[in-house]
Amino acid sequence: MKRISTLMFALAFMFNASASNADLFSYDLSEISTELSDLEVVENVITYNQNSTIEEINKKIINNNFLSSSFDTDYKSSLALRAGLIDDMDWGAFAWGFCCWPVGFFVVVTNKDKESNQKKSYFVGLGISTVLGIISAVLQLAAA
Amino acid sequence: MKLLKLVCFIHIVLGPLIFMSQKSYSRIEAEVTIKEIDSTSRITTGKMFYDKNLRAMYYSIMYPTREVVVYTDSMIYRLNNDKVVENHKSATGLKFNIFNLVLNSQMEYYGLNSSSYELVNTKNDQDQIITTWKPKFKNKKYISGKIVMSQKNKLIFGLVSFHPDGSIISKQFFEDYTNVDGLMIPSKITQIAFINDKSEYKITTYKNIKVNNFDDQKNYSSEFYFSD
Repeated sequence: MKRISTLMFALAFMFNASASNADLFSYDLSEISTELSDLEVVENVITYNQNSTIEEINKKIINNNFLSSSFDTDYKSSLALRAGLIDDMDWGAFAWGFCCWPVGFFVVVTNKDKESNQKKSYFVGLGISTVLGIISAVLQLAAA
Repeated sequence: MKLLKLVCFIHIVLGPLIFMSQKSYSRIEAEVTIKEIDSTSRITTGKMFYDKNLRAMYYSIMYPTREVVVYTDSMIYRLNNDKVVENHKSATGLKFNIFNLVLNSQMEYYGLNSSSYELVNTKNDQDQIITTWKPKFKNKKYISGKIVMSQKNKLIFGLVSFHPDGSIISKQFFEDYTNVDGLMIPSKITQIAFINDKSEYKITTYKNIKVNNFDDQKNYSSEFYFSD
């Protein structure tokens, strides 16, 4: 009896392990089938109009009758979007622009290893510093 | 003496022949289509050019905008008329890019055998070999869990990444392998990311895959410079 129960437990474990692996390495695209078929329509429009401009292609996509819903053509490519993901303020570069812009110019702006967002942050720091400097100068003149 | 002659013959005559028969691959290019579905639907089409010696992957994007994006080991550049208009540090680099893995013959284990992951379990499951990989070191900055990989016919089929709490972060499936000049390359990659109980789908397909095309030099390297 004990042997039978052990065997049944082992079989149940094997079946469960096999089922979990089957689940793990399976996928179902049925819930996005409508979106996928729409994207295939868009892909065909792009393929058959490769020599057209982006604006012309977008017009053909928008006017396409085979789409189940309207297709928003106003987006960035994910390949290019990945390049912009880390596009946030760099406070170190900002500090160079805000506190010591002449040295910061060489440390940040002329440095080829610095990213676009770091250079933007430097100029934001420099801009804010300049504006605050002007306001402070005006206030001092008014007080005098 | 005969043995010595045989060894000399093998070294002098057969050695170079064996060496010559092993092709070395350094370049790969393909037409690429990326379909993404989450809260919206998006499509990107274009061409990809990669030279493993130059360590740069060029994407000549045709749609939704005409532009060139270059991925290197450390940076991502956006180019407009051969000038860099935007550059950012790359979080992932090219190490786990499938074309880099294919050209470096690391596709069998998705480069995990030469990474910071170690193999902890292997088992056969019907037509699949399932391997489990765990991070060797604990990284304070990037918390990573185990990766479970499935291979069919010695080709990677599925890759499931887990969070340390055991939940699935993403699934990747490599299908429709094509033999291009002796290299087995998946022409369809389906990625499903699970973010906040929602699934985000990304289906990448490659067509007209070519290896070692040395005719179109301009597509593989661009002497771009900083515009700012």
